[in-house]
Amino acid sequence: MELTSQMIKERDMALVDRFKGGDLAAFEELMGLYENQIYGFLVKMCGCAEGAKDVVQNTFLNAYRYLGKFRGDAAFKTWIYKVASTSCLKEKRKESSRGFHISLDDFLPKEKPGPNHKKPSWLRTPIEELLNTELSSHLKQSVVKLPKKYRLVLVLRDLEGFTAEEASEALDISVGAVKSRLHRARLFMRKELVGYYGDRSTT
Amino acid sequence: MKDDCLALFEKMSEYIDGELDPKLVTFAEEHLASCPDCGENLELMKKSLTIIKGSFQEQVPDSCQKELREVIRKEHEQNK
Repeated sequence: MELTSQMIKERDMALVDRFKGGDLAAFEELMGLYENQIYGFLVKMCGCAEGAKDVVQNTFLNAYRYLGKFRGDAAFKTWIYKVASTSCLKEKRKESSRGFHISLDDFLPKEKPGPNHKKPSWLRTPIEELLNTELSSHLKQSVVKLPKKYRLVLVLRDLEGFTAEEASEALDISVGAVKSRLHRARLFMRKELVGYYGDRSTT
Repeated sequence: MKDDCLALFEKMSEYIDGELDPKLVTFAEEHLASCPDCGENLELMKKSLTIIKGSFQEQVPDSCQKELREVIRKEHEQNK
């Protein structure tokens, strides 16, 4: 039987309560439930497994330290992603894109396509034929080029499946900010893809 | 870029995600029906998203379960 989100929330809260009573096994159980998900999230955020290992450790160490204050207003899953996102923002290493702002103007089509304009050929190519290891590695590097405030939103929403509301709770920003950052991050990624295919007829 | 094209360009992600205000959905659909450039722009964004999502669907490398448990147990011992 598949658990509903309410059942998951109650299961997790029961474990949190046991932990608050001093039961380390309850915390380890919570780790077992979420560590792969959080690790996967951080690998996408860091662009490599090695960098993610340090952040995953800080995430669960901070979770251990602050779980006593968790009241259960949000789901534990949202809370643990919030701890992971904060750990990620604090991780300064390899962050070369700080202060980089993405403006919508950077992505506006420069001119109206002429009469001989052709659609990029990859638009017509089936998705199965497009996906390959080289493309995947190119896109992973592209995600890491994004400043973290945009990267976090893109990874949470498009790769981890968070709703706008969940991402807003996990990142402590408004739903409007989530949507605005997501759109800019997607435009950036789209530009990277267009660059990859070497077809610059559309930005 | 015309004002209507610009308005749609700004709201394209919300439109794709089905999070656009219903009044704006009507505007977007009417505009898309008459503007092939915006249609292509939207198609490009949707395809990009499918490619991005598809490219990240892979097994996560071996986790760090053992190290993680050691770190937490150490912290727990220190707090006793």
